[in-house]
Amino acid sequence: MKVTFPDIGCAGIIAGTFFRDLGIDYIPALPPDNAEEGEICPDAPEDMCLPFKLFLTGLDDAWRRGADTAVMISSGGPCRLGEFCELLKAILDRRGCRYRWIILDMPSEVGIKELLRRISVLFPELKKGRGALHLIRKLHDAHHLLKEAEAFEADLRRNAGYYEDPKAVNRLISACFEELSQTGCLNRAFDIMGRYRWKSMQLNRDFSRSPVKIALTGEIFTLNDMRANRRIGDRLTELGVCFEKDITLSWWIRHTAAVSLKKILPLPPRRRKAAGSAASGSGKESLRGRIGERIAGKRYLSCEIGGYTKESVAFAASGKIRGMDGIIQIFPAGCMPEIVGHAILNRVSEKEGIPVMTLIYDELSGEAGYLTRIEAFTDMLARKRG
Amino acid sequence: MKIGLPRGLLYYSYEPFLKTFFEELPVDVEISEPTDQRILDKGTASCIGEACLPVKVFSGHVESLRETCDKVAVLRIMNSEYGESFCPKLNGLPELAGDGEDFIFTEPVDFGDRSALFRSLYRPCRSLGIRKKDVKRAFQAAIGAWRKSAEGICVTERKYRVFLAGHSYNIRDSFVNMDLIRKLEKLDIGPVTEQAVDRIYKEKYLKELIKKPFWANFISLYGAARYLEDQGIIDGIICLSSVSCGTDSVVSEMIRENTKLPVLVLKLDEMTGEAGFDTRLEAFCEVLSAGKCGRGNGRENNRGRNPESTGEYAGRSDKDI
Repeated sequence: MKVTFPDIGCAGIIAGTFFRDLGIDYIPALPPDNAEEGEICPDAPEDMCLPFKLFLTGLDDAWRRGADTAVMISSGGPCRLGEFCELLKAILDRRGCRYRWIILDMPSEVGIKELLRRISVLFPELKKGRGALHLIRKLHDAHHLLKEAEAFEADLRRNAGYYEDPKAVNRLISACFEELSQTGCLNRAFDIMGRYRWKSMQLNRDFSRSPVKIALTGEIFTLNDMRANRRIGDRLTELGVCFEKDITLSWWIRHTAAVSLKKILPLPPRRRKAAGSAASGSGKESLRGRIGERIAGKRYLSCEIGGYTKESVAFAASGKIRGMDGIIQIFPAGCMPEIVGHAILNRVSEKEGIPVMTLIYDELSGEAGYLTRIEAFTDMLARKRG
Repeated sequence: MKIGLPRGLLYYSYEPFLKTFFEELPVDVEISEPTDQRILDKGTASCIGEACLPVKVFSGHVESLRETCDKVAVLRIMNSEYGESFCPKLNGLPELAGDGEDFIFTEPVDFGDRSALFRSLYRPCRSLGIRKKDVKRAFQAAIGAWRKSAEGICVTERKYRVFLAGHSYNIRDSFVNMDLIRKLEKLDIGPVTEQAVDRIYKEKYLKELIKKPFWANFISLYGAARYLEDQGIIDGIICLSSVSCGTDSVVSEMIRENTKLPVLVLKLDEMTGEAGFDTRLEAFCEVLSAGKCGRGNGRENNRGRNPESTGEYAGRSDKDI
């Protein structure tokens, strides 16, 4: 069995370490040297969004490199992600990539027993009644590694404007992920993280500077995947701009787990509220920011409309309270919930008096336009700051 | 107090219920005029560029009602009567259509839960000073009208019969779809919409899929297309959708992947040029006639595409137009 799944951000790197640690063959959906170039699969429907096209291209590529089992998450909508598996299977079967599909659907749709049965297909040892504890420990370690890796990058990006050599920050982050992708052991991966944390503390900083601070928000795939957002994180860091993003993969795991638990466990109302609040924000955010996020969020969008638009609008709307100079919203062309978010953020910009720029990404590879707009926006913010 | 009800989006799907409810309330109600160029221009000016055509048309209706009404009812319909969801843009419609102070009935409305539906309609009525018993009476009348109504198009006495797969707001708005129904009539093509097929027959075909869909229109359109094809009632399928429609991008692809019939995909946008539209309809009519005479292989190669094919989008299959 050779496992693959549609890659997003550093999930493939962490998953690679996890599977190699368990002795399971894992084939990344796109090899690292093809991460930025390479064409979109020609059978990708024109009207589908960028995440789908990248998933299709990655899985098609992984099949040619020997993968035979595809793991795919699904949802209960209304965002298109929940139907990706259906269309991916139909198109890949037609192209001759006849994967065995393991669809990880919401427990409220298929039941927790069926979900666990599907997961156990990946881990044959479980069926023999062995290794459940070992597996849970490894899953916990992998989740912790993901949080560490994302926190490492987030801390560097949040202070990017203070570093004397911003390009060194980008090199450090790339080298860290490159080394993580080579390792086959979770314990060694933690050692690598520790070493890179130490190296990051050796970089020179100048705290007399007053860099521009930006809140980066939008659709989860485009926010976290470098192929989708044309390395916007690196570009902003090179420009000496500090930025924070709220919707990360580790946030997503906490949020999804909390929401699923709320639906399937008969928790009393008091506990249910606690499960919900665990999903919002990371432990490192200020209390003021989190309260501001809840209040501002309710003012502009108080109900779930799909995707994580409610959270992204709340984060952007509380930008001023968090001390941000501007907001950049990024999403793929055609993303339904974020189009509503775009309309709301126009209003947020007028009412809160904070500049908002929207960047819409598609599969066309021209980067100059995006770079020009990012430079112009950050220049405008720097001048506004004085 | 005058309330405006925009003639757009899910108004077409729930017209008997909404029209009866608002007309039975003891307030003045104005339903907007059918879509025309003036309304489309207003909508394009007031809505963001990335929104799809139906949302722009809806914004146009809202803007035209704002000129003459005190409040405009912009309903946020979350779930269908079977508990299925709609496009996320419909869930965020008040925000997308302008989020005005004069919007009313913007609370989430769930057609799958009768008591929640009543509560979400009663609360705004209470703020207008309408008594609860009047709201109850209007609600009961609306439920009655909803049950009795027959919607949809089912014209079978023509030379060809075609399943028209699309949202009600695209099919029933003749300005948006460039008078498609009349054009099909001229080509002797009888359209059949998904309302012609009972729910129970649609659900049988969902077992072909690897998971149960959550979109109301996926279940209706896919189930109806497969049922009508299996029963031999239709000769082809026309997928009518808007440019950058999220749900249709999945539904029309799934229909194309799983049918042996010729499929025509028509995309609607704000451009008003009809020549290209007419040409494609005529070409599709010729494909249907070739299929009926046994010429051409519109029906043979189902999934008529070579799995190794890397052809361009326009020429992927000899049954696609």
